[in-house]
Amino acid sequence: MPIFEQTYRKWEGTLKTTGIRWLPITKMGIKQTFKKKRFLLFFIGCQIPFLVFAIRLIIGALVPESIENAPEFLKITPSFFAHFLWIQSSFIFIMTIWSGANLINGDYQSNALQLYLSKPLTQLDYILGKLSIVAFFNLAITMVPAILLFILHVLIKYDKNWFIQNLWVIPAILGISLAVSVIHSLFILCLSAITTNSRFSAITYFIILVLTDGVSDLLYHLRRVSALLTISISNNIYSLFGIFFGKHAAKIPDYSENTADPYYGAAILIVLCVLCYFVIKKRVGRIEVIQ
Amino acid sequence: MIIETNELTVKYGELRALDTVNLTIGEGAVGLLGPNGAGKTTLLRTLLGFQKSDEGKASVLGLDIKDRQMEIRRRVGYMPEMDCFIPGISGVSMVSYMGQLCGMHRLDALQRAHEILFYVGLGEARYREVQTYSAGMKQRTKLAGSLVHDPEILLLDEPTNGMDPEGHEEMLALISDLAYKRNKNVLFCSHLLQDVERVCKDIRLLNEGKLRVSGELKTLKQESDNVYRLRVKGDVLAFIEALKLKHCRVETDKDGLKIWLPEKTPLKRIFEIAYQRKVQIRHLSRSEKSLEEIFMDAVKNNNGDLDANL
Repeated sequence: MPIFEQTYRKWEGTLKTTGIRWLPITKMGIKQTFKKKRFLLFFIGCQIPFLVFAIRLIIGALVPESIENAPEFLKITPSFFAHFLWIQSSFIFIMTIWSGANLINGDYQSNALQLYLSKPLTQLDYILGKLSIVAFFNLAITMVPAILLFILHVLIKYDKNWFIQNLWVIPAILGISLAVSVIHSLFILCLSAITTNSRFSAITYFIILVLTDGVSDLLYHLRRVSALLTISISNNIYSLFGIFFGKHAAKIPDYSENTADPYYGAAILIVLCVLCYFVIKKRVGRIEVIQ
Repeated sequence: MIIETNELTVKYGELRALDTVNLTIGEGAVGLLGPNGAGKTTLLRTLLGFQKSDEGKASVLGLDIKDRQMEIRRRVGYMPEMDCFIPGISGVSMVSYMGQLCGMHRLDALQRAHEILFYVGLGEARYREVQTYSAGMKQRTKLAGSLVHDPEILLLDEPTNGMDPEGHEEMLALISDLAYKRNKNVLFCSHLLQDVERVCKDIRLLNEGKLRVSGELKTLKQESDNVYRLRVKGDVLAFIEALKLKHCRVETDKDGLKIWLPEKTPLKRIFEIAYQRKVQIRHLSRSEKSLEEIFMDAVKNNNGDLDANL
């Protein structure tokens, strides 16, 4: 059909009524974020630990098993993957700010919300679409490289026994990556929904994480009550490694003894996520009506 | 009926933004008029499911607004009043994105976006970022975004806002084209009476959340059979005096005389008086109300009943 005729034509196609309605929002968000050159550099930089771990894995595979005094770091155990994800979790902090701080308040500023919601999308679709943008980037630096490392190890050194014994690592990688990504994504979206400026939401996110960490550390050192560690959001997030990797989490080099009780921490994070979701929903609904 | 409401009420706290509105809108172009705060935008938003109704029912294309919102939005194109756009993307990407959000395939949406942007007159500017557009260009982009999925109904909220005179004319021409040549059902919401008069044959007038006037514009403009407009030459004052003696009400304005004949008085009485006063009648026609008069009557007559039958 030529596009040069300046006239209105009837569209003969049919609209999809099934499938994931929010997917175009996510695709557009990812495309827009990748347009930022500095972000792209940072994203590539986030994959450096993957290369380092992959090299470590390859060297480990080349060392014959008969060598008893092989260094500990060359042994590929579940804590190898937990350690990798632990390192990547620190990148999530910046990744979340970069990809999520302006997602909802950017739409407030340009009044785009009514454009979205006049289309066949619910508020939940809108929130899921935006949430998936941040989650995509977070998973791209955690879940995807961790699974690739697992596959790489299986391919290089195929050991049936190791594979069967450590098959649980795959759901552990999926679980911890999804949990960490969703928590950070919901949190930044919530801040993006309650502020009208992306800088403000980024700064608030930073302050809340640092402040809860500081307060939790201070109170713990004064009182020595482990429940006080759950004040820290980051501490609660890191404590999730204990749930997914069990005793292997303790072998992570940076794993602190002063970690909150994982189940108590998880419960607090679930409450925080539910709270964030309702705040986002309320804010999106309020803007929709009042404007 | 395209749109139907039954005792529809929407409240913002104590304020009744829509107050038991009974409205039917048929096919074609219909103007939704009212002063600021009359409830026009609230009505559009309620029909789209943005705003929940507190009482009453409403349907769009026979679909209940309470439980068929998604289908309604799929079949309706909405052009919001406010300046709104998706930041950081070009015009063609934005319109294509709107199409994808409606459920169009990516390539279909892209092809359609090109066509529609040409249609609304943004052919050359379609690769520029939307935030660099002028107010008029943004209005056209919004119209394109509401048209991309080829909806059955267009809900246009103040579509000529912020446009220069030339753009304003072009926008009205586009809406007329859509309504009368492309068979789109258009609900044209505006406070600019002349715009509505240019495009619509039917009007609905809201004030303070209530439906005040509803009907065909031509019918609404007709005054009673005994009101006439005259232009005369000669002793006008004497002619007016003579008419008043015969119990006629007379008003003068820039267009001449407006005469209300008493009931059952034949038209020839005017000619008789003119003949007696040696006044020449140069023009005589049945008087018509202007849309402005209809609007002002409805706004002033807040507590009155509906002025025309639904």
